Amino acid sequence: MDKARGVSNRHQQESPDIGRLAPKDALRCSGCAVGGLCVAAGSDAATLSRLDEILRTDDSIDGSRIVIRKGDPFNGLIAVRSGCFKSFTIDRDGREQVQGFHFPGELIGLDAIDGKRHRADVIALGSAGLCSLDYSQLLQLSSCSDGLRDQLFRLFSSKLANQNWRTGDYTADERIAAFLLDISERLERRGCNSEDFELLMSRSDIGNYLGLATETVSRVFGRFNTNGYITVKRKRVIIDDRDGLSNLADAVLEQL
Amino acid sequence: MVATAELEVPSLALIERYGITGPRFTSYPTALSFDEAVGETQFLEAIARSNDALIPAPLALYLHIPFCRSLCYYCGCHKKVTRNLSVVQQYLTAMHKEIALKGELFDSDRVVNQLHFGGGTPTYLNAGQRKALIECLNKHFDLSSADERDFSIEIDPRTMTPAEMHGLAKLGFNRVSFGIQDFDPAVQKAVNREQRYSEVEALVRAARDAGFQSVSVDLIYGLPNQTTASFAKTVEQVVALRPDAMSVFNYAHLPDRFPAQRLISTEDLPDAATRIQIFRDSAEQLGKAGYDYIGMDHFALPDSYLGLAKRAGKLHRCFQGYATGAGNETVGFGVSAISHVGDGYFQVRKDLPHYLTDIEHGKLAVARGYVTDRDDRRIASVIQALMCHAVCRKAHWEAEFKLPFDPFFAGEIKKLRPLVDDGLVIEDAKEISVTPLGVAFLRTIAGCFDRSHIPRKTQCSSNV
Repeated sequence: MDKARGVSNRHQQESPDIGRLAPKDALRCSGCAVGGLCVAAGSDAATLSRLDEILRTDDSIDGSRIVIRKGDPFNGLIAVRSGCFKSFTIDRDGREQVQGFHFPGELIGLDAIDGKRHRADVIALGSAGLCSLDYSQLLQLSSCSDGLRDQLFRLFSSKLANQNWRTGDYTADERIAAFLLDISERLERRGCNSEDFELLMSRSDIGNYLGLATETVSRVFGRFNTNGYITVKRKRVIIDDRDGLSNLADAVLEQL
Repeated sequence: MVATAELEVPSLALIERYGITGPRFTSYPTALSFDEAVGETQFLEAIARSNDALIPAPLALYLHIPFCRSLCYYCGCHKKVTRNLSVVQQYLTAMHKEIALKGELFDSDRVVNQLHFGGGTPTYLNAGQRKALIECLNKHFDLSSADERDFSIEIDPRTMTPAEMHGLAKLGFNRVSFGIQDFDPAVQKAVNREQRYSEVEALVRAARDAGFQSVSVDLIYGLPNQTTASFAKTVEQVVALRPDAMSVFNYAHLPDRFPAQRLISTEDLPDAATRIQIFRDSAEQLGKAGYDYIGMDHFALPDSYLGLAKRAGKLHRCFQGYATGAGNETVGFGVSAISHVGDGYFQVRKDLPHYLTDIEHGKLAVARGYVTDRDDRRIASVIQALMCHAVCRKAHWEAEFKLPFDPFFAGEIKKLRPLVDDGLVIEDAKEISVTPLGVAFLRTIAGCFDRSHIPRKTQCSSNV
């Protein structure tokens, strides 16, 4: 529980803490590896240095740490710096519903702007890093920076476009092909290896997210592995036949 | 692939120089390297990680039934001679609980395509006890019913009737191995294991009638009172039964390690020259009878599952010798049984009272184990290739581990030099391959790659 509050509590801390948390260039927007696709993209030097002042960075998140609890008051957005996060809800019968996975450069908490409370739990899958951005300060800053405002709207809108793409009458093969290509594209956008990556989420998370039984997930991965679309080594996926996957996934991805 | 006819039997001088004993490398590192610091915590972590794979490995279950009705003097297995049925019942109760405990830990979609009952004497159990165990396994694991499954049981012919063979098939077993060792009455008497040929013949026939896919037979050479002539007769009798596969083990007389062997008098043992002659003659006999040499002490008919796997390059070394289930993860049940899950090996306690208490308290009774690191896996891959295929292709290894072969194994290649000079191994830019003469020295050759005597820098597993 304490760990879960680790992030949101920090929003209430006083400003001297900001300086302590962001002493190095690497911990600032201006020096960040994913800056090019995060909130700072398109911002001028002055806006960047103001962003550096309002963000709080935490690079020491270990696996399975819950960084947001459903119902927590909304104070700001979280930008993923490194690793991968999963957002999920638990229904009254105790069943989990995975809402999504978040990669570096992506924002978490957009759905809480309206209602001012977080709508899902967010957990780190393995070690990860994030930046917290105070929402009112961010709004204030964006009112004096066209570049920042523009980028924020772009991020909000791309997030909306990604909602619910997994519903629809698609086969398991189509869903998983689309899922793999979606992740690959998101990795490519941030300049990471999009052909050879590790899926940090579990099989049951993937199944839950895509609306498939866990057994089906492993069966389809097994089939793709045999058919030469991908090579699977434990959690690692190597894309061998992008065209083959695209043929399967196109119907799903067109809906995005 | 070495055909049996090409198997060359080495000279006594070579055997004296290199020895033919040493670890059998049913795993690398071998059980000798297992450490008591590795226990239940690491086992649980390994299981969680293995469940987490995108394509989780199928499971191979091994059940160890340690009981025997009488003592075979040559035996070095982990066993307990008893006629006390309440001890057996206690053990089975614990085993049922152990199956339930471990079943909970593995994801339910992990199919079991290999099952092996070993011992001791698995056929010490009566039909009802065996059935109850299978039902328990079925309840807690997803036992495959596919034809390709490999469900086997070791049979002591003295504890089996032909009618019961049909019962085993009904339970789902489709492969059997018979412990014969030797048919000569003088040898049988000297090792305290007397069984008639006619009885074994009836059991093998019953196994065929019951639809078993594979029948294999174990023989041992180097036992007291054996002569070249007597063993040739045993081999001839076994060939007449036409088993699909056969193991011809070399008896290792180590009375200091295995007290039962003190009951064998050293002067009754055949001398080294005779033993070599026995193996030479047996290999020739089996080759003429159409058997292929599989590796180590194993022979198989070309169309048997082992023969086919050998040709297809799909042979795999495991605790039971050779198998076809490459990529499976092994879960062991019962005293001394070893699990191989993820990057780790985990052995169940050997002493019965501790095993019973641990299981009763819901613990997994892990006595010791080993978590492999990246170097261990690099070495294991070479040893596995040599033991199963008698050749290690450097390019394959380099593709797998993304590392140049020669610099990593510079010391090992140097160690191989004398064996290369003696014509046991060929080492060139492309591969390390075992010659027909070197086949008898597989353990020694693989042993050149064994680094387990060198202390490891860390006990942590590293991710690749």
